[in-house]
Amino acid sequence: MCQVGEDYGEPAPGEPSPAPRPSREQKCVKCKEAQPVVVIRAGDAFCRDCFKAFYVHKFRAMLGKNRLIFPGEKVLLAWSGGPSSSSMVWQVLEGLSQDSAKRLRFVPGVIFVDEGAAFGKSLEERSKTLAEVKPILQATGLPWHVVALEEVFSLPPSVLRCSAQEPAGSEGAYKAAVDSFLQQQHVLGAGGGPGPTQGKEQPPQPRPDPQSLAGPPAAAQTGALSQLFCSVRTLTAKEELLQTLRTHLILHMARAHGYSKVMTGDSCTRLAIKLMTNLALGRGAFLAWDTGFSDERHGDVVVVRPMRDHTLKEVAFYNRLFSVPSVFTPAVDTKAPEKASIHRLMEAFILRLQTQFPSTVSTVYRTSEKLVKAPRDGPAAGDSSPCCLLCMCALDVDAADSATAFGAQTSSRLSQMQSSTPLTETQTPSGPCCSSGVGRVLGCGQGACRREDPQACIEEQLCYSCRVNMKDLGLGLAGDPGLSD
Amino acid sequence: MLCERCNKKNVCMLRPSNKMKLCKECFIESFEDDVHITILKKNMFNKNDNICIGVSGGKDSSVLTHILVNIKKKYNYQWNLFLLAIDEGIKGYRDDSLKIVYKIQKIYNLPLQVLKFKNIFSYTMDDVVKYIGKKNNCTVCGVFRRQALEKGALLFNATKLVTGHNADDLAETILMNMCRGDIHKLSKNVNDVDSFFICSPYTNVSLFNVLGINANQIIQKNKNNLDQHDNITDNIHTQSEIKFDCENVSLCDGHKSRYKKGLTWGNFENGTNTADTCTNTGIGTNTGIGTNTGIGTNTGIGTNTGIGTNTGIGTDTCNVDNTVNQKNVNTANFVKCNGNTNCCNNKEDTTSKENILFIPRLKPLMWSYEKEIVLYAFYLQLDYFSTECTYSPNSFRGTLRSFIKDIENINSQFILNIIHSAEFFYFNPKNKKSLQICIKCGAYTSNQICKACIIVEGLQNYTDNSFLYANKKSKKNKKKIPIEYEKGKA
Repeated sequence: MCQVGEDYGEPAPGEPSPAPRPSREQKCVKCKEAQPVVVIRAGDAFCRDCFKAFYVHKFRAMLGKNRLIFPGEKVLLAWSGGPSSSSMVWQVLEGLSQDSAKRLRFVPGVIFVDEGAAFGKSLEERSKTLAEVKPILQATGLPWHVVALEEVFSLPPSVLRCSAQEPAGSEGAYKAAVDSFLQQQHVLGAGGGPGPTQGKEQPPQPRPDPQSLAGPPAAAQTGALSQLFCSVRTLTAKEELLQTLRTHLILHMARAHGYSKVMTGDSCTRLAIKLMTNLALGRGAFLAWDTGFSDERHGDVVVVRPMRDHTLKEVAFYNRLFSVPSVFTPAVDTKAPEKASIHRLMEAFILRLQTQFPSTVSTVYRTSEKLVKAPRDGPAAGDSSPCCLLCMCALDVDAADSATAFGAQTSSRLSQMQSSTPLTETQTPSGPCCSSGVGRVLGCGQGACRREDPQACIEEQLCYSCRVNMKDLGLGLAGDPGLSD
Repeated sequence: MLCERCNKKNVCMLRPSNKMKLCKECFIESFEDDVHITILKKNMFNKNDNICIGVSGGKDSSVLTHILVNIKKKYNYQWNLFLLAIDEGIKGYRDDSLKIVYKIQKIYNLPLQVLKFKNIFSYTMDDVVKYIGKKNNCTVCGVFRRQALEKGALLFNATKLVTGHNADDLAETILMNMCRGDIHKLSKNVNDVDSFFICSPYTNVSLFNVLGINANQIIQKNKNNLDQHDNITDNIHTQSEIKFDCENVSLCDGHKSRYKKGLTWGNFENGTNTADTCTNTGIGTNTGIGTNTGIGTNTGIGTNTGIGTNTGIGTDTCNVDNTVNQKNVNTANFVKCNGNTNCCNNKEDTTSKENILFIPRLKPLMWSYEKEIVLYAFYLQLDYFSTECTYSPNSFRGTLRSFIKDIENINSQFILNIIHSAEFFYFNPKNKKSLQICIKCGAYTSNQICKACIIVEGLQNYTDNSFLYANKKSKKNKKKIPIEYEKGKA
């Protein structure tokens, strides 16, 4: 309708319809002096400067309220080229500049993941995209990395291991945490790592990843990746797989280059859609991690979402008014029909609901704020409770009396039909062949587990939604990184 | 192509939930097995349970009745099954579906009771819609219907109340509550035993004996005259002989005069418990649970005068004479009624207080897809009424229902996924509201007054629709600056 900024994965908004011109003497809601140029929600008309202040304030407030980013910390900005992440990078750049009030004090880097192989783009198209991407990255002046998704195959299996979590600190402990962090930095700083006070200075390394400079990655890997994605039967599972692989890759790069935080540019609208989609995928237990501000299930690297409070409309207006550069890269579901995957369907549904009930997105957002991370059962160490292999969350499969049992029943029946070998029952994960505990999946070949049946062994180590996705992967299992025998 | 289950007969259908190719008999068997597994996994029923089935004449309740009867026969459970139907007073919808209900009663030979909104709340749904318009009336209907079901279940002295909600309904509810941001309802875990919706706490047999609503009599009557469509009020009106155990005449006097008026909720007049002195609602009691009866009124048997303190068993506030203008005392002990102490309490019942007080609401079909229920009914040629409620197209739930159907088209597993997600929600435990007892009618509620009472009050003194949202925080009045669009632009 008149939701101008709604981004459906299409190119950055070209010509939005002009802001409604007030017929009477309407003034900006905030400063009450200037002429308003933009309308956010019904009745809130802002002038250009007030809008910018409002937008920036939201960003800063989100970072400041959840005091997770320490001064001098290395933070990796995950940039996909789309409007939200471009806006985020822009905000960070502006925040770092010398003349802004209360300068941001962390050390950012930017990463771009080239996913062209996942949906069969040819090499020329990919290099064209890269050619568009590189100038923007260079213009940021931050250390940047370009990684191809194929590198996921060369990840060590240790990425699937859930490393020890730092205990969540309380509010008062922030200052103590900052102090200890700075001390660590001082100690390490002598060893040649970047010091805490180098704001915009480019450290001598890391340079852009040598592989992307040297040309496209090995064709074999590209072929393997596209085969993996082609073997996935449904678009839903494809998207989920893509997200998982991308997350693992970004985290690995963060670890390799010493970043302790990753910032992603998920906006309010996208997170509301993601929440509902995850609900439909069976990830109700993990909603707090998937859509909350911080996501620390990967242990040492924490994923942070500073754009959580900005609706897509605001992002689009901001990008338009202040000429934020962005690159359009088609995703796996671009131009897919509405019924193709649950993601598309949910997106269309929420946006349609939003037109009828304009408070839908904010309501869902508030609900997600109230979600609390369930306390881990058992002693504090994260290693003691089993984690899902793929998504690193504590397993939520409870064979006793839940709907999972039903799903498990049907799946075991199905696989009974398909493979006539007697299966280890997925319903009763009581002392199966594989020892519980992540990272030992490769040891699955030992013990009584039959080699003809790695699927059931792996399934037992997955959470409910990953199992559901795995069903759609079918024979592509062999190509999964870290699981290759 | 042979059926995958028995490998004998020809395939006649593809099962929606797991895409198995089955013959007709195998589908029926596996569907019933699934429901049985649901019942077992959730420990729904105990031996000798009195199970009250909420029937509406629709497909879910017909199938539910059929399956429960079958399962009972097949596995030889000792359950007692009753049927309970609620008449909301929607013309063209409910009166037609009630005919099916009577048919069901005949086929399975189960005692039936029909409660009307008009008698319980003194409004039919048609009246309500005249007041509040065609939107938002699902709220009222739902709240009233649930309370009516609870009260009806009590009349049968039921220990469990089952309804025919299926997996699609559950998924819709979850999504709807998420879209509406209803944390309170979402945090009631689907799995959690503690959070079964709880009926009013007076399941006291003798209570009914006193009031003359004797469950056994209803059952007897129904067995004898299956054609008689008994409404509970008719029951009372036509009963010439009301059996009282209580020797307390004045107490009974009040009831007798009330019976002359008919069984209505709300304040009574012209009884020993008069309107000004009691806030009377509950089933046939003069004051209901937890209500404050003001000065000098009797709160009836087994009820108390405090809020949330007494729950009905073993308490009484009868004073010696039990007349108006005698102060009630909440003793939380056995009644000191004049005469029989039997009348007011069933002493055996006080042993396990908790068990008696709660009638859990269960949904044996909760993991069965709607499609499969329809197929089941189709194959067995079960009778059901399949027209939509006249008010439903404008509802919020309607949009969600079509959305769920779209989801199901992509992959039917998603519905179970949603239910699985909801089972593992985790909200801040501090936000969990504990149950209290409504001051007016004694039903369980998380606020001081239950929603049904709020709605009835709102309808009686109707000004606007705000009472529908009475429990939500009022939004600050945002000053909206109207912006006019020029013609032809934007």
